[in-house]
Amino acid sequence: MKFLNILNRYRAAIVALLGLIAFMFAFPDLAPKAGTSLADQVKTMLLVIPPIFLLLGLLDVWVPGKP
Amino acid sequence: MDTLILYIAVVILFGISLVKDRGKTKKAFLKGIKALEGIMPQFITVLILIAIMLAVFNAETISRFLGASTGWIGVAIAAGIGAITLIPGFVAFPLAGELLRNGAGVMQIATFVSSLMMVGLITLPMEISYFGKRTAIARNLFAFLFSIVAATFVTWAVGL
Repeated sequence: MKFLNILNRYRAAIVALLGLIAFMFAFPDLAPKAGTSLADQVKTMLLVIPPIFLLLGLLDVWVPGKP
Repeated sequence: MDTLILYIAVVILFGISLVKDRGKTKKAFLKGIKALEGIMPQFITVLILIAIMLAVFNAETISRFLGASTGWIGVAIAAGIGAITLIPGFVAFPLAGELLRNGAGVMQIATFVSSLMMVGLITLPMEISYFGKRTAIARNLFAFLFSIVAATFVTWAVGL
């Protein structure tokens, strides 16, 4: 059940991923470009985004005011 | 470099927080992780879509429609796309950076980002239900015009 929930939440991402795979098969000449672009972005994002969310967590806990 | 500063800030601030209140710090950490996981489904989806989009539209195409030489036509295109599309900010800015690197013009991208953030045609019905028709439409209209003003300013600032 829990697994199904996760699957459901990532439904759109899974569809997009399948779309990307289909795209790479359909246009092999564009595949490397899509691949490197995705890899680059994922790398950058994974580096930048976690600390931002950790800081947001701190902000949420220490700064009062939310009703 | 910027990233390094971010990590240093995290370490220092969590250190201070830990000294002040262990429980709160733990709560903050868990909150952050939970929020991070919360955006992941949407986030991964958009990253994949951007990858496909950038593969299809090469730098040449992007600069043809959104390049600096397209002038006001490019600005109009950017404002239009930004007004219709619905992209969360944490995705919009990296996307804007990617477009800039691929030949888009500063003014066009600035227009795109600000109309993206401030004008919401898709969310207009929802906005009307909260603010009323008159206010919602006026707000979006002014925001649309303002995004072009803001873009002019950004272009000037970037050129400094």
